[in-house]
Amino acid sequence: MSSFLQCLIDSVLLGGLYSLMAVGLSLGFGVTRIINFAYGEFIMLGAYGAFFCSTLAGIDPLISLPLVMTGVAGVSGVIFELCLRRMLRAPAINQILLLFGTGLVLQNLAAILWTGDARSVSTPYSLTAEELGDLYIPDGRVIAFLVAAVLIALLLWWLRRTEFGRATRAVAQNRDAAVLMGINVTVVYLISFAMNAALGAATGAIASFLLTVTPFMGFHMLVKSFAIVVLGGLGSIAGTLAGAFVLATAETVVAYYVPDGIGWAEGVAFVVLLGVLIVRPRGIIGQAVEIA
Amino acid sequence: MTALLEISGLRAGYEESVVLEDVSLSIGSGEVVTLLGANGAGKTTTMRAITGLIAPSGGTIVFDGQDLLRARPERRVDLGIALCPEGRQVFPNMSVAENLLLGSFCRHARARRAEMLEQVYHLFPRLTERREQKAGLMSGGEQQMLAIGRALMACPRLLLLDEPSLGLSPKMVQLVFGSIVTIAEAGMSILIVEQNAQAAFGVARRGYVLAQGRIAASGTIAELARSGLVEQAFMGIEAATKREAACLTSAT
Amino acid sequence: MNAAATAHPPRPAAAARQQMRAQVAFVLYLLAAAAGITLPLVGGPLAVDLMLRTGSVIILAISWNLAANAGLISLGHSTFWGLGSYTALLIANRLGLPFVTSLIPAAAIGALVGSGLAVITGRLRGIYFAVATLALSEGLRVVSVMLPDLTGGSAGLYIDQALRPAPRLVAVATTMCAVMTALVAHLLSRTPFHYACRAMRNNEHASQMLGVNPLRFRIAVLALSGGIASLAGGINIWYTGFLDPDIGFDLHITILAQIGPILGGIHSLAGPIIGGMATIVISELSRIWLGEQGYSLLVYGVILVVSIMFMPHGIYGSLRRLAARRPRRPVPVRAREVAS
Repeated sequence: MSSFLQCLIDSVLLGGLYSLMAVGLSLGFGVTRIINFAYGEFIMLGAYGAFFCSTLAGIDPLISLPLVMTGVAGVSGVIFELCLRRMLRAPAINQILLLFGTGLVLQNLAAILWTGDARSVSTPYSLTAEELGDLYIPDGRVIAFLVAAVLIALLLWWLRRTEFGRATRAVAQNRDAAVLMGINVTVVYLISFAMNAALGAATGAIASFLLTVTPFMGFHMLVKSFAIVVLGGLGSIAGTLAGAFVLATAETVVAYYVPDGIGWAEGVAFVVLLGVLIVRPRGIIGQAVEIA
Repeated sequence: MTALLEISGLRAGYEESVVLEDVSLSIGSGEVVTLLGANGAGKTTTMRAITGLIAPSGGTIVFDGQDLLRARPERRVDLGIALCPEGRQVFPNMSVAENLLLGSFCRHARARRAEMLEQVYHLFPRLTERREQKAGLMSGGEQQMLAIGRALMACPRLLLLDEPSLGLSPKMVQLVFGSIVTIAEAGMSILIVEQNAQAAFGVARRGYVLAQGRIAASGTIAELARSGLVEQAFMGIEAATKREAACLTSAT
Repeated sequence: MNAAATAHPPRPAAAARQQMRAQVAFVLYLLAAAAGITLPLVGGPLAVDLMLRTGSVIILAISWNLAANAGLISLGHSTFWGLGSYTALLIANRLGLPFVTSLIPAAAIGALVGSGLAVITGRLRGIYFAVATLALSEGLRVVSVMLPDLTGGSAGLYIDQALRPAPRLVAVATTMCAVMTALVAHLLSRTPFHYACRAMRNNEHASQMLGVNPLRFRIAVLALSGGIASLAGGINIWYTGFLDPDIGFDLHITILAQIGPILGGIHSLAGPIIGGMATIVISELSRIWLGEQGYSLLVYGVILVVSIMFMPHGIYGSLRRLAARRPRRPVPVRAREVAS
């Protein structure tokens, strides 16, 4: 019984982190209809940002979080202005490959500048845990969950209650009509792209004290984010959240109950992704999939 | 009297096809003018050129003395042009209220938002009842009312209506056009693009007929109705097409 | 205007140009085949290595291009390469089959997985296909790590030394395969297959109306593309001798497959070949000037970005446009002209 509860707790805590990770990608796609194949690298930049703030200035990742998010958002803004802006009407293949290439550049710049050594941030809470009877609840994970919850709540509030958030939703739902409202769609795209990067950076900053930080960590997380977004349905934030928890639960269950589970858990995302594509491409909640 | 909107020699199209060859029309302040034409004549293209969704390859568009050609779509909304597009184009997953709020996104409209909302709800009582309903779930007629209301929320000086009767039952058409009359009576300048000449004749005072990318006829509604020019323009297209087809078959 | 007057004689200039192009192509293939056989046999180890790598990249590039031509952008081409490598390796070690024989199952597996991928992604948008390929390559990497009894896990496996042919022979095999692959692609581009792919690329709905069955063509395209890439991977393992999941399913391979066509020009035959060779040149130069592996990937990334932004038609495509100096947009043909 207690192993079941432990599994549940771990799933939920992991789900929180995955939610944050996937929501960024989902937002970006929902608005711009471009899948950011460099998303993993924004996560990676956030992780390194937190790492350097911690080792060079002794700042805890939670405190450097806003700074890291802003910094990476800034980088993404530059990428948008330099590269993406002229490609907004280009065929999907060009956009995909452009972002893929950008991600590659960032990855390898990081590898050259900061070497491929694995890093991580140790904070007071990354090693402690609460113990309730048989249950083991790592503090680091709880804090990650809380941060994720706060950020996602802020995002939802922004989308629903602010002028610009509403404009963003409008662009996502009907781009041409949004133009007629006097909304500058390119600016909306830019802001969405930046927010996508910021949320990724936040994920990275949290990951810095939970996982190891390497220049190539992003690719793996990109694949997982895809799995979640496809599972939940492209373009639906609620679906993404649901998908995050489903994937987190699936991975945790596999890690617990399958022999050698911890290794196999990494492959669950891939199975989920292909499974969804075969069975129900529109995902749990998402919109009808456009057949091209 | 200088016109509010003055278009001359407009030439526009998409990719490789030219849709508008040479279009000239004008709308005075407080006037209700209709632009008629058969399917594919270029009515929507004209609207898109006015609102800035497409860039014309020739001609001029002057609004209240300002040359619009280089103005971005957002700027034109700021200047006071609002389009209620063909097919309504509401934001499907947002409520009626949110759609209307979006209508007043531009700065000058935001200040008068509360006042405009009241006016729109007053004009379209049905929208008041359905305030929180998702726009995508409403009927065609209700969506049309919403689209018009949304355009009004931008506090426009020129209201553009693209085929408001499209897909509506005759009763709905009556209802919608009744509201349009009310808006016109309040002094709004309106350009209605329509295939349904009869409905348009009910509200407009002047009209233009668009055929094959040009203005084939213009005048007051009375003149147009009397002259039979409208029917000829619609039918004329068919006749010309038939003639061309005959040419081809005899040559091969 | 009577019937006789309207019959157009074949335009001599165009027909002659076609013939000349065919002859030039024939000569080029012969030259390539000759070079592919002689250079590895007479050259030093550096020449052998270069020929092998160039051949592999060209094969990968043509394979990737085949799929891209049909609108299917693969971001996980290493999937096929890795599958081919592992299959050849296991066939050799477990069954003791020699070099050439092991390549058949290697290519077959690639074709099979390619077909499977086509079926799974069905008629979903290209994005889903791209994402699926990404996931597949990652997933297979995980699988190979987790099945050490089969694949040697992260420690990797060595191929049976006794069966290994001389590196020269492997290089010859690679270059011959490259020539054959180019030939196959060339021949395909002369068939309705080519136009079907173009139709698919632009609009799958419309292509159905033309009588093209998208699903069957997707399967054909991906089976071919996958089989070819797996073949390349299968050949390569005989040269390198060692394989582990990170090598087999390396992102590097996926990048190599793309860079050629993008740099050289997608949607053409010469493009991937030119691009592939350019890739090797760049790789060598960056190795000489900049040293580490990391730099070459960085260079590739920059090339990708710059090419897409400024030269979307690639080197070959841009050259073709300059040479032809055709107007960019086709002039619409009006009905009257046809009749006169």
